[in-house]
Amino acid sequence: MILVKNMTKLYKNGQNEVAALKEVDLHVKEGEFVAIMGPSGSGKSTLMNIIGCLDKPSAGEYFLDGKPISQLDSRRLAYVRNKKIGFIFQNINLLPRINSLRNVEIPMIYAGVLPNERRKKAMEALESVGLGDRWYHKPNELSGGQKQRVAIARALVNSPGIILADEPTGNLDSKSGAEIMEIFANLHRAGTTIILVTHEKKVARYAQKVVTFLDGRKVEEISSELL
Amino acid sequence: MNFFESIVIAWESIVANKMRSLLTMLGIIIGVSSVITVSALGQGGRSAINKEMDSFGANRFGIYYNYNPDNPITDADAFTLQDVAVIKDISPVVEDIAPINWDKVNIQSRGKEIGVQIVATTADYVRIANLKLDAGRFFSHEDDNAKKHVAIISESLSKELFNSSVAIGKKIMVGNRPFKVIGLLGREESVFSMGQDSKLMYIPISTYFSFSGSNWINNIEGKAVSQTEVDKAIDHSLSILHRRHRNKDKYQAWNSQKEMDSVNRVTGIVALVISAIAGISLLVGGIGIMNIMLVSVTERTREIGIRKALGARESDIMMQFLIESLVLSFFGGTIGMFLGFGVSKIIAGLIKMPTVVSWQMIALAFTFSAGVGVCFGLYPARKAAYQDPIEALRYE
Repeated sequence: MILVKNMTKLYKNGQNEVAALKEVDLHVKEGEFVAIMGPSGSGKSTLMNIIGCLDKPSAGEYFLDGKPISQLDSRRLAYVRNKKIGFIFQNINLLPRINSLRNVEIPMIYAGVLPNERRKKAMEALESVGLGDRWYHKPNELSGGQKQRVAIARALVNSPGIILADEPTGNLDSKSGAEIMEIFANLHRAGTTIILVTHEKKVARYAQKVVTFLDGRKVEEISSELL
Repeated sequence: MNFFESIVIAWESIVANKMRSLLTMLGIIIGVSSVITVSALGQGGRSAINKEMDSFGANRFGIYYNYNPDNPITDADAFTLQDVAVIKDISPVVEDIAPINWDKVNIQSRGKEIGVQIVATTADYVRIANLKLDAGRFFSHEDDNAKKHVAIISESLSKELFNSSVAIGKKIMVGNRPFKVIGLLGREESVFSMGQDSKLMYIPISTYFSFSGSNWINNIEGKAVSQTEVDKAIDHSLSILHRRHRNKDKYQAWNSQKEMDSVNRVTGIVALVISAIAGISLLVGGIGIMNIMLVSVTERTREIGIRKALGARESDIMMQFLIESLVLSFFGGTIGMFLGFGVSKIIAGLIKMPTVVSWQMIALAFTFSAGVGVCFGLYPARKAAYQDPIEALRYE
């Protein structure tokens, strides 16, 4: 499903070029739950951005469902982000001034779902993450865990095959973090492909496979049972 | 994403930033309201002047002396009552014609002495000037021939002399001559007189000559059978006068159509200048919108990043910001329009002038404000649309 081949990403830092990713290979099968670990600056987030079609690699190839992503124009990339990928961010990134329902509706707006159906689906998505009573709350009226659950509802609402979660529990207390991870576990059981970046081993244990990065290189790929 | 969605998103953003939205709209509000006010007052004034001219009579004309130091007017050139009678007899396009002399005199009545304007003319003048009487009658040819001491007075003079009690039959002393009031003129609402009509007293011209010590007629006023015949009526009158007096270039003429045209030209120029100023304020309003939209794009960089990550295309982001500036300027335009209505009504009330708000003007103000919204929204919207999603997401 996701195939990354020999991928390098260079950033210009003044005169110097810094490699955020060096010749990385990664294969994630459909329905697989992969955790990516590594210290900050090791290239995890860069890889996530490229897989999420927000960024382009400097070299190497990325195939999604067998199709090379490098050949897509910005319009098609937007389509992929909208339909095939659900993003979950460490800093949550809800729009602050609109309520939960409207936040969850955003991806469907760009997918062209009609208003009535959109509202219904947004309500269902919020119920599925246990926020059926928080439809009209704005982000600042919600706790951190609740906000992240709204963000998960938003990521799921267009039924993407892949969920990309960049340290989703990083800013949460351990109880909320555990609740969030339960949602991921359920998603995995339902067959969704999940790639999750984390620092914490107890979070990584929810995954099947753990990939470790160091200085832009993939240094280890093991089963989570070995952690 | 369709147009309606864009409007909803734009509306959410406008409501979420009420103060900023209001300030953004301020320029457009001022621009549109000044355009509406200026044009409403301008067109109102114009139509009032036209109405005035119509009641004055579009087919009126007048003849007066062409004073020239090299070619002075002599007694032989002076208009006579016979001239007037001959013009009326001969020219088929002159419907009515009358001599008219204006004079200032002091009159006495019940112990008061006040200055009045005497209008000495013939009985025909009532039809030429379209005079309306509130009470009594205008003097007749018989009164004129018999040099009767009768007068028709204006409302303001009647008020001043008789304190609004019935004036008909009362006496007015001009010098030592008693005049009997036989008619009362109706009030004339006039833009030029600002609601005050002057103290007028109409008397027969023969009576006037009997005490003025001169037989000179100063002006002749006439009325053509129709508006299109005014020039012909003037031609006839001038050629008859020149022939009868065996002279040339001693007389000249005016006509109401010419006066009306020149007044319209002046009001047109004034309206154009003020509209240009109002247009500039709309332009400034547009630049204000662009300013705030640019700030708004920077401020919402992160929102743009989030929306892009969730699948927004460049065109969606572009549309969102463009619609936002369009909605802002449209609302500004609407508020400005009502404000303009209000202000023009208030000013109109203060200076006692009617206002005319034309649909063309409203349509123009709206089109212009929408145009301002699109033109000045385009650059910020492009800037928003082409942001790099990663950098936008990282923006603090």
